[in-house]
Amino acid sequence: MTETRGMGFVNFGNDGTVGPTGVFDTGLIGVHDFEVSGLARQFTLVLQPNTTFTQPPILTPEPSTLSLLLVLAGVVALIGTFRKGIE
Amino acid sequence: MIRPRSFSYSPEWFRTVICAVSFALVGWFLFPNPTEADLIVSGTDTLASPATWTNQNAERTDTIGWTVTFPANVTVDWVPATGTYNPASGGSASIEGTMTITANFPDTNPISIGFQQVAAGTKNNPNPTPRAPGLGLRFQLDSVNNNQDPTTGWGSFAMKLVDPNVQPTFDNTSLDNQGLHPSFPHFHGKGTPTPFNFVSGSDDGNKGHGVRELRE
Repeated sequence: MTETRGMGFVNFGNDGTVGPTGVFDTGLIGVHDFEVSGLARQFTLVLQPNTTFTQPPILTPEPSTLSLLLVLAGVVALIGTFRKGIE
Repeated sequence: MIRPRSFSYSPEWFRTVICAVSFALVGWFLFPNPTEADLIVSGTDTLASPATWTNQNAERTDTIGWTVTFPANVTVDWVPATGTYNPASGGSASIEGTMTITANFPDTNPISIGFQQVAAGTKNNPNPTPRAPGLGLRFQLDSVNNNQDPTTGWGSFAMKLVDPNVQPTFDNTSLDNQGLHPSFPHFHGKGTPTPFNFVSGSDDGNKGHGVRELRE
């Protein structure tokens, strides 16, 4: 199954500055989140001055704690099996 | 004659390494580490639904099935859409409301606002859904940002929508044949920013920038 990891982003700047105690107003901009999986969705809106966001690079899933425990359990079980076979 | 030796005749250390690597690969695919969501500090509100719905098969509920959670230096004003709410239209009549988020920045650190859909079928989530298939949450955002730092000015401003989960790839050409709708949350339009200008992202960031991983 093909899956997508990505984020919506928008950058403002180029002209003008917001001084101390100033205000920046985006005006109306659309926000949209599809219901794809049929499950309860969630996301976070992040606002930040003096920065630029871009689409993140491909992220290879990192091994989780559960996967590491699975590896440990497998190694222990295999060592036990081999020892029993030798005996 | 040299006969090939089976795996069971290999040195024990070699078998252990091979098995450990195999289990690691299995674990990697089965239990990928989820991306951490940004921390939400305090405050939760539900989003009231538009007053008038056109979908005759759906029972109108008081909310649209989403909550918004925000920190103390943020206020959120939600105005449900007026007129006739027609989620099947795919156009402006499917917009559920307008949200004004006023954020007070004591410095240039990011401020996060969380959006959470309640479980389907619960009392505050329309069931059957009045929305077009897969239409999901759709609203107009007015982001008002106050610089409360007495010494530091701003030369730019950015917003992003972070989905903590990897989503199934959506056929984003089916709604408007323009490929503007990825399965992750996204922006539409360029706003009417003051004093900055629109620089990049929004619809342009939705086309062909979805990072895809192939999983079997």
